[in-house]
Amino acid sequence: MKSKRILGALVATSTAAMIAASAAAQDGDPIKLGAPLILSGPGAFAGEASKRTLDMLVEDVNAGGGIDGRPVEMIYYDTEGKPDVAVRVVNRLLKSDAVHAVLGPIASWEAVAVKQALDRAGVPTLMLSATRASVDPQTDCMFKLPADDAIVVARIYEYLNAQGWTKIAVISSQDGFGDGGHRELVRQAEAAGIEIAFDEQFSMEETDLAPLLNKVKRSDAQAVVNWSSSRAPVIVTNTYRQVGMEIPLVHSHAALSPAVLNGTGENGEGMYAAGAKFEAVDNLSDDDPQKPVILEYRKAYEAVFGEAPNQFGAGAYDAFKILSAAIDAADSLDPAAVCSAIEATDGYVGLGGIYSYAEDDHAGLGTDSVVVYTVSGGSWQIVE
Amino acid sequence: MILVDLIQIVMTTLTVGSMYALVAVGVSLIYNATGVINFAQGEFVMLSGMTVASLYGNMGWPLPAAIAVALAIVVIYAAFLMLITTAFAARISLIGVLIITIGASIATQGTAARIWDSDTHRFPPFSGDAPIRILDATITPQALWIIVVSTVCVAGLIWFMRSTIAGKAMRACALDPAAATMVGIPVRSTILLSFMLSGLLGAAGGIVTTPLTTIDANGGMLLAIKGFTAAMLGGMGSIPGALLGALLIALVETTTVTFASGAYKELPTFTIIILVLLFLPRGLVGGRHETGLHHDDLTRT
Repeated sequence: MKSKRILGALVATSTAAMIAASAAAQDGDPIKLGAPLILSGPGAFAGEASKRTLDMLVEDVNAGGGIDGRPVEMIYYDTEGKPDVAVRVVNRLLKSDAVHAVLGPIASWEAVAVKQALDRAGVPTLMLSATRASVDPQTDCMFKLPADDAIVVARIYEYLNAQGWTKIAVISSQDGFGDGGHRELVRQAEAAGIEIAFDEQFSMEETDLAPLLNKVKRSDAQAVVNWSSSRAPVIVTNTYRQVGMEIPLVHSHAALSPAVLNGTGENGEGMYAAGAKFEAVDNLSDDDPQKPVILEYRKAYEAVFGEAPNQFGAGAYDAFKILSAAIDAADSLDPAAVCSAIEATDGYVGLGGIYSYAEDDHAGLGTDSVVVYTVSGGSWQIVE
Repeated sequence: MILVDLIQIVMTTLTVGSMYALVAVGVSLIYNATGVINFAQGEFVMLSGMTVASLYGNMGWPLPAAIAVALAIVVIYAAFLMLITTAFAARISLIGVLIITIGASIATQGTAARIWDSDTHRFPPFSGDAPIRILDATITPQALWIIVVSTVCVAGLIWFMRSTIAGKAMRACALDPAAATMVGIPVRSTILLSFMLSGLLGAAGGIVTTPLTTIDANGGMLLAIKGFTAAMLGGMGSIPGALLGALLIALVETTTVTFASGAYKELPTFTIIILVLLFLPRGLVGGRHETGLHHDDLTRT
């Protein structure tokens, strides 16, 4: 009996000691941030730029003593651009790694897949995907960074109306990104006074779009809006010239990448796209508050990595900055506190736009963060 | 209007069909010689496309030099594949070797993504972009290149198989390796040759189609599936069959896109494939085996 009592007391004391010790150890513990990014497969250029940017920022922050004196630790997983893998790695981040916040995922189809798991765990999440569906319907603690399809479409329709091109043909890809864009294009058309005279989807595997574009040619559309990503804008643009189409071609923000300019070359002259101000920073007027921020990021990235960053790296940059500011302001890692702090972000001048969140607005950006570009002389120039 | 559609369908079928054909013929060729279905066939296309895109498109090498290097790289890669598959083929079943080729394909894609990157790449078409107009249909000069080069390659291959000693030796090995050895045919070298020829076919495909379709590190897998399907449809092991299967698949796809919608492109294609294989298991033209690929053929060691 007595030995049992001593044993019991011993266990109780050591447990108490361990709890006290771990509580004491809390203060210097690293802040763990999870980043499910596309690090392999066709979308890897997006994830790679994001990872490099985050690494760059984390190194800076930790060199300066971390956030609230705690070092930041990034945990990266490769989603391979596949929704099922994304769900798996997010679950790992939530359960095994017990991260304090999540930055990502990047692809629209991944974001939709992981939304439920993240919401249930209540972990503050800053989504790097452009689909409105990440925050619509809205959840407690998920925020979106990039200008989403709803805002970009609104801006495009504004521009089309101003130019008098109110009858359009819509071609979109059969994936999460194309679907999201297509939904917004259809949804906003009537209110914007735009008539969609032709509407067809194509598969991302398609290598010859001539039959589809010939059909578009025969419709009486005044302009064509193409909502697709990665290599599709290149094939669309090249085929567009090949079949001799003269009407204006407008791409989604996914076309705003150097790879698209390289792939289209001369065929790209005169095509349009809408997106964040990031791509053509040199066009911006000097009193645009975003200009210095963008220039600084570009310079730092090029100095370390020897090549220009893309809009995905920019999104990761904004996400990290907003998150660290929020953690700092909240002075704790309690999810509810961090979420309120993020919601309080107002007028943050970032690379993707000027972010203002609110209790009922987790999308952060408005149409004022989107501009219309055209290709002139081989580079993207801001039209308005 | 319907005439324009028909012209466009013919042109697109020939262009896309040539792409599929180069892969399908390669698959049938290797199957013919070794009984192995090479799922890494698409990587031949990918590797040559990416190499020319870097050397000619990015680094400004002259086109012939870039093409020569690309062909050399793919031929070496094909030889390497042959060594892997034949090293294992003696000891494991055919389906095991098949899976090894799939593994090789995945490994190659990952390596390519590290050597280059995962972005899409392209280089300018050989004769420029200015489209050629036939009535109201337009075709790009590169499409003509694709059709001509593919025709020359496949015709050249068929001539080779029928009229040269080396080609006949290849057919002999396919019929009966033991008998071939007994008449003095070096079976291993012949198999190596078939892999290398197959590689050349795929490489040629990559070189002529990349200006139109762009290429990325993961593009090979899809092509391999289309090529395998076309070869199966035509009759696995038959080169004219592979050509026919490829053109047929391209025709069905293009017609569907033109008259229905691009969204349903795969539906009629695979319906037809299923029907053909149900009623004609040897494929349209008939392959090497009397009754198509059987469970025994795949699992026998």
